[in-house]
Amino acid sequence: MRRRESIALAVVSLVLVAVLPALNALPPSSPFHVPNFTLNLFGKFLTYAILALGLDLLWGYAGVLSLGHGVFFGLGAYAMGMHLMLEIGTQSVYQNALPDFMVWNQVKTLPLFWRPFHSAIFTIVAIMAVPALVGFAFGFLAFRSRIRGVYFSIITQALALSAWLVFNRNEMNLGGTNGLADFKTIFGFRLNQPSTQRGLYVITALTLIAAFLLCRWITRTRAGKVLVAIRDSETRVLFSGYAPANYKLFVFVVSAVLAGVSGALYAPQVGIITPAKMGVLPSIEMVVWVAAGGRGTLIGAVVGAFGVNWIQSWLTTSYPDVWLLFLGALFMSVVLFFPDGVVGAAARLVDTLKRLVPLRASTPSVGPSNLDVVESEPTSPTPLQ
Amino acid sequence: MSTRTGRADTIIYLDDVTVDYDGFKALSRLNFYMDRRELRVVIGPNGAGKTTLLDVISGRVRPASGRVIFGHHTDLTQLRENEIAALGVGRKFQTPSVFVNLTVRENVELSLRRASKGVFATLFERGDVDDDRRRIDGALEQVGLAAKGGVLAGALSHGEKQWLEIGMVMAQDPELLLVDEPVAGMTDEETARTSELLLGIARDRSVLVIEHDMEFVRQLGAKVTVLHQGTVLCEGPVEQVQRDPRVLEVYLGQRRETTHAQR
Repeated sequence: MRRRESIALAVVSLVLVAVLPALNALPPSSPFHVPNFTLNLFGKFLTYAILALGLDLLWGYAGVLSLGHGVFFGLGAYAMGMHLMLEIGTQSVYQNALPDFMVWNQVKTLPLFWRPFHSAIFTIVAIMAVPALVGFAFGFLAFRSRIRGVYFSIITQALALSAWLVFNRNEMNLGGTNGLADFKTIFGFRLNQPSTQRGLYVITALTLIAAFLLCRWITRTRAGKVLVAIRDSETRVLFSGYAPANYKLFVFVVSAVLAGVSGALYAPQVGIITPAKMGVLPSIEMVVWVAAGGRGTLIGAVVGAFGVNWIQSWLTTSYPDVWLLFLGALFMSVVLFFPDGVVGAAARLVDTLKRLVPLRASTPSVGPSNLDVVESEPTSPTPLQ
Repeated sequence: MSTRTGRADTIIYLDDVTVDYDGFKALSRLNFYMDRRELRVVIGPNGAGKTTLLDVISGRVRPASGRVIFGHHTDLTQLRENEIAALGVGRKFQTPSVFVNLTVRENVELSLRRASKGVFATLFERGDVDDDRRRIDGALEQVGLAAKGGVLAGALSHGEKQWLEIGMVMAQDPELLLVDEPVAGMTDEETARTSELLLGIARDRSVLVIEHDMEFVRQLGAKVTVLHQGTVLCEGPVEQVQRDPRVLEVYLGQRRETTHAQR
């Protein structure tokens, strides 16, 4: 099983990292050419998948539902966005070294907290460190006070709302409602070049693979089992000698960092970051991706992020009125009919087929249950806890 | 009571412990002690403070006053639940609480006593796999679940879950086991097996059992402590306690009343 899974993983990785960008590099006349638009769209989906992995680790494994991960996504995206704004320099509309919105708002000097973002290295560190610190502070206070379940979800929602309100304010010098946009270059490469976008896509795909391997490693250690145990019975974990608060804090910070990285890869590929991407609604949409794909399975998180967003981009262009109805219907049908998502439902289907057609009766059913899909299959967890 | 403080073979000693829930004294200046390798049963009517007694020892509830001394001189009142568990106090809950999405073996594996149960220790430590396997096998053997190691704990019957949880607590290698109504909801046969199991465990550990089922208490044949309104009403062998007029009044008498009321 483990071998087959590794092969599948390698094939998918190869397609994402090498085949798609190679097809994109073909001349547009070729029948196999992948348009820039499609590759860019896929790049965006892959950044979402990175975030979904972390959210799944937190919710699907440890049972901690965060309705505020848009905040960490936004923090990463803004950190990257600030660097990109400073890279524009005097190529801006007002031809001022300050970002356009500051000129517009009559800000005369670059605010102090913007200055370190001139440095690319500082920016890369901040992309991970800022979400990590905010996640640590928030998680530390919440988990130490033993806030859990619905109460925790509600305060994460409050976090998303307050972050949205704060980032909307012009006085924050972060572009207010319009956010950060009109990026020209990233680390010196011109963003309007297809090769730069292709490079960003490849980096995103590689980051996703790294994130997947990281999460898979965590779930396979004893700590990963402790996370599942916390979901099942936090009290038992506590009385078995573990401090559940520390474990939850750990995954919360890991997921915050993944969300930050996701945001940082999003900003240059989409070209804009606004507070609208970090509020309550996007945070809930992120949860829907994980739920639809199948929480408690890492593959499910990736499939969900990719699938839901693909459908969204198709519906919003072809049938714009239908999208929100579809999103609602999707969430309800997941709650009612597929509590373990697409991947869970597929695993159950395969299981049923196997039972009907005992092809190889000698295959042990209780083997090393390392395939994530198998692990989560037998129970259908309550959709929201 | 003061003469007992210094005894070398005392495993747990509650000294003048009061637990106050907004004016209701769940425990009221309670003095209680247990010897090493003793099997003790605590009985008492509802609200007598039985579960609160376990809560205080295991760190779930912090008493308003008094000391809880584990072993020679460790005061448990300042410690967190997981720290008390690591010291060697295991607790089995009344309703089975096992990890339903993990296998029976994994349930026991997580419970094994280890040098550190911190996040980074469990992430990076491989541990001694052979030794772990032996200890898991031992615990499963003891509770009669050796054949079910690969099964998800959620698929076990009620009685098996109770035994698994006892096995998990045993894997923690505790000096003192706190067991809250282990046979509630069990068949007579399962009850008999459970009393055998607990008697076996009590050969080299201290076991404190809370129980309602008097038949089960008689099977255990241990010293009985009767709690009433947060204090010890009397202590002694089952037969003696059952004849005690005070016990008849507060406990058995009340039970007779409730059975009358039910009719």
